[in-house]
Amino acid sequence: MLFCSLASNAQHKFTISGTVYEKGSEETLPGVVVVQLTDQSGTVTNAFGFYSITLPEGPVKLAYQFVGYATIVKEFELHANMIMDIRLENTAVLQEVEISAEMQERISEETRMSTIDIPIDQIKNIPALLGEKDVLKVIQLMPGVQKGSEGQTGFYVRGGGPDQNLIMLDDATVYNANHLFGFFSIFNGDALKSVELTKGGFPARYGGRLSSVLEMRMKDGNKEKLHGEAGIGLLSSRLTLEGPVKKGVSSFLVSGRRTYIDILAQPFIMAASEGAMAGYFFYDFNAKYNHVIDSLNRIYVSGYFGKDKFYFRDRRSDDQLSKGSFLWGNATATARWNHIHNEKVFSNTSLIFTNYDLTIKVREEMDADDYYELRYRSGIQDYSVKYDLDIIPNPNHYIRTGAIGIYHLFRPSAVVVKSSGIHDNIDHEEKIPSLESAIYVEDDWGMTDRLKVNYGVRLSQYLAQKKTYFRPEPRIAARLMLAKDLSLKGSYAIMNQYVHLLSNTGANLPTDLWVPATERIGPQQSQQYALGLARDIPKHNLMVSLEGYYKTMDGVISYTEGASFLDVGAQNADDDPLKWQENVTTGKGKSYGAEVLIQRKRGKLNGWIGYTLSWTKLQFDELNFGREFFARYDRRHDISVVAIYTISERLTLSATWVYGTGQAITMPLATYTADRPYATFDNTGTSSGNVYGFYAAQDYGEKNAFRMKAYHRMDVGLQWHKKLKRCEKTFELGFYNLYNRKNPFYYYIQSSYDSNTGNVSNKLMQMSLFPILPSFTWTYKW
Amino acid sequence: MIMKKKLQQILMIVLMMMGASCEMMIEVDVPEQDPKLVVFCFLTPEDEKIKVIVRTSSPIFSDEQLNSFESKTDATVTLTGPSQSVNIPYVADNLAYELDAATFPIVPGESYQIMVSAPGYKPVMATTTIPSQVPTFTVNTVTESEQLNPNGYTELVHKFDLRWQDAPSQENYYEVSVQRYESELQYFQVTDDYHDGEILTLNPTVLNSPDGGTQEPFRVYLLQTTEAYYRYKKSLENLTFGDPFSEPSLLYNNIENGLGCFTSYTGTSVLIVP
Repeated sequence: MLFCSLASNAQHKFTISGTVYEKGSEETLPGVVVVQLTDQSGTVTNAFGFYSITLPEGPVKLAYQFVGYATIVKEFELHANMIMDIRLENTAVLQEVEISAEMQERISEETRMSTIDIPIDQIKNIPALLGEKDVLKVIQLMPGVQKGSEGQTGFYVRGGGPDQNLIMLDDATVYNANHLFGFFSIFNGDALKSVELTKGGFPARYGGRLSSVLEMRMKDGNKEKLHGEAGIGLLSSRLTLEGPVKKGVSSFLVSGRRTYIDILAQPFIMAASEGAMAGYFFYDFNAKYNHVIDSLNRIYVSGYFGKDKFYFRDRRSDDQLSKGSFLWGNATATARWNHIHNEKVFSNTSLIFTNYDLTIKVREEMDADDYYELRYRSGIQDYSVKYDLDIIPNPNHYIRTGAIGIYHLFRPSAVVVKSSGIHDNIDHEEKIPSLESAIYVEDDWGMTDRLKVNYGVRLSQYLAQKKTYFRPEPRIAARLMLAKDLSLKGSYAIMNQYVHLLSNTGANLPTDLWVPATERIGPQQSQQYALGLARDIPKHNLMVSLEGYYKTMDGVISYTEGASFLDVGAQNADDDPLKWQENVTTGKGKSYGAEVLIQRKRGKLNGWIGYTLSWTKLQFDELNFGREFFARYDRRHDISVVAIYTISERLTLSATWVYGTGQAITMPLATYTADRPYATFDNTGTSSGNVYGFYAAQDYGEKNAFRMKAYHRMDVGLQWHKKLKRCEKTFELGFYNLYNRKNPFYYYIQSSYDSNTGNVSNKLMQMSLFPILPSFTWTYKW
Repeated sequence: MIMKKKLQQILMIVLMMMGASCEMMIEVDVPEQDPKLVVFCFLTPEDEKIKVIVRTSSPIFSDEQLNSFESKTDATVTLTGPSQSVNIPYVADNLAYELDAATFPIVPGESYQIMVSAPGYKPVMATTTIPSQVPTFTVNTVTESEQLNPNGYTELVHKFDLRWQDAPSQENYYEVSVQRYESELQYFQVTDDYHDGEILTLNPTVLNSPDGGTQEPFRVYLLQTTEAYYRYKKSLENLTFGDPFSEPSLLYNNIENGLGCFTSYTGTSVLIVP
């Protein structure tokens, strides 16, 4: 069926194909709408800027439209296949261009739903904690996406945990995408070209996680001129350079960041305790090179490298010393080859490498020859090959097919223990290899003028130890135009996830461990139905979407205690690489809700308003005694308002306001004494009565039955731009938590004893993390 | 274990450092909580006395902490079986409500209900069905060997092999315990998950310092328990205190409107002379 339309060719038809670039930088532009104005048939450029449109012979009026760029219209007679590369000009560069209605992308036209893309410009304009612009924190401001604890980058999409998000940088999976114990993400906005989040209605080309795919692409680097951007902030400094290697043929981009809180905080830590010192820093580095071999072939090589280090040292006396460090980081590398087979067929082949590594070192010296030393390492490595093929037979079909193979190498832990008290030093490492692969095919099919369907299937396979999992994943999404600029959309998708994240803290700590699905702890699976309305209001430059979703998740994991069946031997099996399985239990989850998004991507006043109403419940046989309970991140209401206002060419004001229902936590409300029975029978076999032991127990009610206070916060930022002949300077002043709301971060119980009455009284105390925090950033661009 | 502790220490340092710079504390209002009745009763046909413990809980966020260890002496405790219903009197000496089992037989397969009320408290109730008679089991000593413990003392290692037939097509719960001098050396909560109807085996290993030549025998128990018993004792084992990085573990509760556990078991034991 997919290829049936390939054959039908009654009238003479020809294909126009090519690549769309940004004028000046020669950066390829994905997502550009290419439309034949006479009959509104059209296509969109792919991730590498390639497009292909097949039209009947005769007069053609083709428009190339992209948000933020001036539309180009080409009129000509079509008599043969032709290649037409297009260069669009950024309207930010142009003086005061009236933004016409036709220039807008239209969400009502697209088959895809539940997809969010955020212009990098907007990300850079939104105020941020300590001035560190962060892609993941901006993603959290979208409906259907929720933040976790205060300031954390981990995000929850439609009831799924942070482990269920596939985060990709130039096609390379990033496993623990955090700096500074989860407070900042590793993604440097200066190096990014596009950010797109898919939270439902997944096309078949995406797979591997239950809840979302976050795809980030790095800039290719300016092919015409050397450009740079430098920034100095409270927390870090950054520098980006891009330019041609050989003009018009090849280009590079390098971008780096480093923090200096370790240097700034040092005096305070030293003052706080004598003999003790501690420090922390992170840095990261992005690089990309791209080369146009000829008009049909192009290669890209890109990579990311970053490290975080936390260290401390405490000398209590001449002999007594305690020191240690946490060191963790990601590295990714991607090599890609774009090849245009012919005017209708485009392929991309990628070789991808990913590595995440954590090392913890601790050494304690009690006296001269009494010591304890621990070295702990864990990590994950991926080697992937990916092949994607785009086939565009005619304007009514866009076929994508491809295959991916990933070789995972899990290192759950490698431990070296040396101690004066142990004769045999412990030194063991475990490696678990596994193979994940998938093939997919999908077709975006314009069935009628009003109905467009994206249908496809992904076949995924996973091989870990002796067990092979094979799972088909059908996908379908459809859009029906109800009126001009108004469409009804629906989608269904099955997703499978073959890796699990073990995290017992709720925060994004570097100790969070990725482990493979095993025979006992199988893969996770989700099914999601979504239905929505999409409306464009070109007059006001607005896009409005309303979506409802229902998602079930199976095989999700959570920590438990104990749980061993007739498995006494495993109690002292330190060598078992699958020992983690004993601490984990699997269960089910479901999430449902509604999301509203009103978005304005361009204009003097731009931004969005998002609202989410949702429920997320979990059920584990071994948690909460098998009864259903609310997930910690279940959030009934979640609101975000983002506004960016260009007061003048020199002044931009931005503000965000967020509100979220409090987290569901397990809180003791009463104490009581519990009895522990055990049977004792005498020699005749009759009972001599129960024997009891006593335990101090706490009444929590149900698991996660207590709600923390609601979270709300406002941030503002003011940017002064100064344009000089060859450069632009920007100074930004920002305030995080403008009205100094004391938001809950952590609850604990404080007890006090009254010696007069002998009464003990308890108070529930809340710890808040960030009061109002100002920030300054200075950016220089040339 | 040492490693886990070390990691916890480091994480605590990290969190403290993160928090130290800008943390703010405020008190949070918690709605008033009423104390609840706490009831514990474990029925078994083997018992000579039926014993019910009644206490009260103490709300944490109240001005005055109640003594949650004290027995509630003015409660009305009603036990209802298949053919009769009795009020159980309080026996002050034993700090419990007690009844002679001869007057109120506990029969495998039958259901029992307990209701407890006291002035000023919400009445509470719970039910249990006594499990069928525990299957017979065999137990053999597999190995007895000596090993040197880290302190340099010789210990005797006893490894037992228990076998019993699981009744098919139903969910079964068991408890196995090894006792000596009436104290538990080892105990296990066992289900027949994935092994329905099979012969179940278990190999408890106990360590013992030889006590001057005289060898006190071990008593090995097999109990057929209920799901409530299984979940309650599992959750007791999992009670964690003072680990800020673990999710609080909940104690199983099957008392409607109250707290505690009302459940039952049948059991048998075998004596092993080392």
